[in-house]
This record gives sequence, structure tokens and C-alpha cells, in this order.
Amino acid sequence: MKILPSALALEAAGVLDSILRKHAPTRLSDGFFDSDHQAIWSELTDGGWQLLALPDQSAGAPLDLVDLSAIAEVWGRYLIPLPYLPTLLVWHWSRAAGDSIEADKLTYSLPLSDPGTEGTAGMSPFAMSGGIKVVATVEEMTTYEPPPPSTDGSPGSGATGDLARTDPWAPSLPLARLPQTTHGLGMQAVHDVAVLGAAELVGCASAVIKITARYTKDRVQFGRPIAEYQAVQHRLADMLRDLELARTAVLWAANDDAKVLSATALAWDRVRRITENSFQLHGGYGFTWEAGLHYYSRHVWAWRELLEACSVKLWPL
Amino acid sequence: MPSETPLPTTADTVIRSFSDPAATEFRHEIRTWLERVLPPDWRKIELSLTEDREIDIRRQWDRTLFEAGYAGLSWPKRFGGGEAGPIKEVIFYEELARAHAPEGFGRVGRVMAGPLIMRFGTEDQQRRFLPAILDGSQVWCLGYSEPSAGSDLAAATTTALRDGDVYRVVGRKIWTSHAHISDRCVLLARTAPERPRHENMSILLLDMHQPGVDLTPLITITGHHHFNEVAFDGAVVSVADRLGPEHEGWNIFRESLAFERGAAVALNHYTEMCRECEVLLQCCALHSPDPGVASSARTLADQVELVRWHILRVTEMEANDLDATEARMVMKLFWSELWQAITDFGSRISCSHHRAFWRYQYLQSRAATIYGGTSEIQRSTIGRRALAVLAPS
Repeated sequence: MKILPSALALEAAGVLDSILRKHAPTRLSDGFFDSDHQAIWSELTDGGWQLLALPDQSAGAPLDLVDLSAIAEVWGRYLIPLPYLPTLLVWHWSRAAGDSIEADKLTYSLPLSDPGTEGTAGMSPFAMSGGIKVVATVEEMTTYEPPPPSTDGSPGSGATGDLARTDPWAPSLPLARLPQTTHGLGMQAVHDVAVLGAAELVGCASAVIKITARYTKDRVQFGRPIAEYQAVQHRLADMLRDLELARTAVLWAANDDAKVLSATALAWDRVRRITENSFQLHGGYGFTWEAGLHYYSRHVWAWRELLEACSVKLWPL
Repeated sequence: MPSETPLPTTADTVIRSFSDPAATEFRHEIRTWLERVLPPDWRKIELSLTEDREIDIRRQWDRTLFEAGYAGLSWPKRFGGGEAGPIKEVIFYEELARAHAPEGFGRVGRVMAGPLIMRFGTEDQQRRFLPAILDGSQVWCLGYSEPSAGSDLAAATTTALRDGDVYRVVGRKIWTSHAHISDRCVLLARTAPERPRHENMSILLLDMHQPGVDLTPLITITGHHHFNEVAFDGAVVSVADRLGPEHEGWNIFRESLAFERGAAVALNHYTEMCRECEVLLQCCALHSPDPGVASSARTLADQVELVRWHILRVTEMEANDLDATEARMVMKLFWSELWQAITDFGSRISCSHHRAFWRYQYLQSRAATIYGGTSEIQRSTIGRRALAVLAPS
């Protein structure tokens, strides 16, 4: 059992936070939907951030899931629409294979039915990113290029018909359905995706609650900041409670293989509630595109869809 | 019950992680000890005890803890304690809760009165009270809440006016647990009624065995006698039994709120909820014709496990000097409302065999969102903390 991330992981998380903070937009809705972000990606890869999970990159001790959760949480605070966490995970899995991977951006494809079934489709985050490769099997660490986008924007929508669609609804987690002829992702890999995804959601939630707390101090109605009203304070309290519980749920998931999917479902549910409270406390302004709160909510629901690809029927109703 | 005096065998170092082998060793030590000292079939015996017999067993339990060297587990060594640290403490409480060990009467003394006297008391007071608290021979209660002062404790009106070398106490305290067993009371009373709120109270270590202290039992909605109303009319406290400076009682009381081991209380309720979930999953939910019921029961059981993981996280953070303030603050709000969700659910889907069980649990759980800080007060405190930390001015 491991409860606290290592000192090294916490230090790395702090450094990553300062790198990402430089690139955080002033307003959430600025630019995220159209920008290239290649400059950010280059900065990360030049610093070897995608290799953090490998032993020789982290002073001899490979980072485990609890450590990587601390990194994922930082990523979730900023949600830059780049395949950093998928790339990090694929490198994490490559430890077993010991192969070097000739690719820059990497992702995985979760089977859309029970693992072990041949010839079905997969759901893949960021598969439509230029130059990205999809890992086919974890054991051999083989990768392939996803089918090129067809004229309607979805990759490879030819022979596989309407399976091959993209859903860019959440720019921070654009999902593509890919034709998948082999399944190399066992439950362990699925578990890793779930844990880091939930940790990323905790990061989102921490950003959302901070934005919301600040808003309630700025927004004045009836002559006072709305933060002074009990009803508002009580909602903020619920948000803080849910944040801390989501963080605990991620810790649980990282430590208990038998309960990964239900613990991450609990984390998801708490984060979902935080985003809903953020809309309520922002009033009418929160309902505008410009406010950008929906950027986080879109991520929350896209992530649920990715995990439902694992036939997870554990979502609280 | 045979009692021996073995000293704890675990090395005397503060453990900083639940995965430390010393933690596992300590857990094993406690389990082994419990198997030896608890009566066989304790749980069955417990439910059929008379009140007198229950009191005997609970008093004996305080002595058993002391004789095993566990009474002052986290007390400083110079006061006879073990300085065990938060991880060992949580392991200890968890194993006791799991074994459903008796709850003695010494808890208020060990967790509240003792630490108050260690922190604010004179050497004379420490000498007079601490050994008796530790060995269980002296039982303490808390004289805080009043009929008109619950959440707003600063509005308390019980007075303790100075008359030479003593204070004369007049007023009423309520919700006083075990007042009928207690020897002493940590009394919060107004010693300077003319001064403003927060500057007018002192803490007095009152002797309960004197004229002018009258008890009335308070029966709760479950039919049990646990709390009392205590009327003071002419009871006296010597100035030598005042704790800390005169009129500084409110500040002392505020500091003492941090002594309450949220983990111990949370673990007791965690264990209670585990039992309730067992009833749900192995009986009531299992026999429901609605398939959604079993799924809801499993989600509730998962939330209960989250309570335990949360306790572990908070404890290990604090054992490593990390700031776990927010995580600690939300603990009671979470488990108390979860408990009510479980008892509400259980009551709705109860099988005929467990109807009495769920009715009792349902009523009992009503108090959880009220004692130890109401949910409303908790939310205001937590909300203000969120603002202070996330949106500092």
C-alpha cells in the first residue's frame, strides 16, 4: 500500500505545474479550440517529461501509479489539449517491453467490448493528432499509425463505415473510434488509464473550485460579494468536500486492483458534482461560452465515455 | 478477566507510513492483545447487559487499557504516555472498533481533559489529575453546551462568580455524556459576565461529587440514557482548580477543538457502517425484487470504504507533517451524511427480519449531523476555509 507520492514525484509535479502555468490562457475559452500547441509540446518533450515514468529518467526508481497520479493531477489543472498523459502512459507500459519507440506523440485504443475479443473497434484519445501513433500491443510495444482522416474529418471512414468517427466535443480529450484488429491492452493497462484519468479529473476539479471561489469574491449582488452569503459558502463547502473525496478515491484506485473501476467511478461522480456546482455559483455568466467553464465539463463527460469503452457498468446513477 | 502488565513490544519509534512493517507489527500486537482480553462472544454478551453490569465492564475496560500500557498511547512521555504518533493511534482505534471493544468512560479524560491539563494546567493540577485520568480511576465529563447555547457556545450563560478563593457556579449544562458516572467536569462558565463575548469565560475543573450539582437524565429518541442535563446551584470550584488564566476560557476551548481525534470517531462509525452494509449486501438488498437495489447497496458500500481510505490519507499526511487541513475538515461532514443515507436506504428496503435493526439505526443516525458540529456549521466553516485558501484577499 502506498499513500503518499514520493518526494521526487511531488517535486516533479511542482516543476511541471510551473511550466504549464506559463502557458495557461487568461481565459479558458481563448484559443484552445484552434491553437497548435506544438511549442508547448516541444518544451515538454525537450525536457523529457513524457519519459518521466521510465527508471533511467527518474534517478533509478520508476514512478508508480500513486506518483504518476500526482503528475496527472497537475496536468488536469490546465488541461492543455495535448496527448501528454497517453504518451506518458505508453512509455510507462514500455518498461515491460524494453523497446524503444520511434514516435513522438503516442496514444492507446481501448477496446469497445470486453478485452480479448478479436476484430472489434477501439476508442482512442487524440488519435486524430498529427503524427501520433497508437500502441497496438503492450507486450510487444508495437505501434501503428491511425487511419488518415477521411473527407468528413473522421479517420479511416471507409471500409469500417460508421465505426470510424471522431468526437472533438472536448478539445482536452478528443475521442476517435478506430478499427481495431488486435487487442493488446489487458486489464492492467485499462486500470492505469482509469487511475490517471481520474487523477487528471481531480486536477480539473481543483482548478474549477479555485476559479469559482474567486468568482464568488468578485461578484457583488445586494451590495456584497456573493461569497458572504451562507448558501454560496455551503455550495463551496460541498465542492471542497467532493474534491478531497475524489482525491482519496484516486488513491484507493491506485492501491486496489480489485476496486479500480468502482473507485474511479466514485472519483468521477464527485468531480461531476463540482463542475455542476461551479455553473450554479457562476450564475448567468457561467452559462456563456466565453466563461469557459464548459471546457472542464466537456472533459468530465468525454472521460466517462472513454471509460465506458471498458464496459464499465458501475457509474452511479 | 485476567489482566497482565506486558509493555508494548513494538519499538518506540514514531511510524510515518501505514505500509511500514512496524505498523503491521503493531496491528498484530493489538489484535493479539484484544483476543486475549476481550470476553469470548463479547458482541452477544454486550446486547444483553444490565446497565449496572455494563458500567462495571466499561470501567474495567479503562483499567485494562491502562494495564496494557495503551491508555496514554499518544500522550507525551513525561506524562506517562507512549508518544505513539498518529499512525499507531489510528491502527489502535481501528482494531478496537473492528473488535467492537467496549468503550470505557475514560475517553473524555484521555482525549480532552488530560490534554487540556497538560497544555494549560499548573504542575499541581497535572500531578493531581493526570495519573488518575490515565489509570481510569477518575472519570471526566464536559460541561459546555447549554439549553440556549449549542452551536453558539459563546452565548453560554452559566456563571461562576468569584468569591474569595472559590467560584460559585449557577446554571445548566446539557448533553453531558456520562455525567452520572463522572468525578470531574471541564466546565466552561462566565466568570466575567460584564465583559464581551469570548472574553468573559473561564474553564473550571469542577468536582461533581458535591452538593449543588443535580443531574437529570436525557432519554434520546432511541430510548437510551447517555446524556444528562446538569443543574448547578451553589456548587463551588476552588481557584486552584481553574484551568489557565481567568477569563481566557473561550480561547482555551477553541484550541481544544483540535484535540478531538476525528479519526477515532470516524473509525467507530466506519465500523458501524460496514456492519450495516453487510446486512444490506448479504440480506436486505439481496432479497429485493428490484435489481437496482443491489447496485445502490454496492455503491453505498464503496462510499464506506472511501471513509477508511480518507482516514488513512489524512493520517499519513499528518504523520509526515503535510498540511491535511481541508481533508480533515470534510471528514465528519462526509461520514455523517453517508451514515444517514445508508440508514435511510436500509429502512426503505428492509427485510422483515431486520426491520427493528434498521429502525434503531435510522433513529440513532439522526444525531450524527448534529453532534460534533452540525452540518450547517461545518459547511459554513469549510466554505469560509475554501475562500481563504483558494481566493485569498
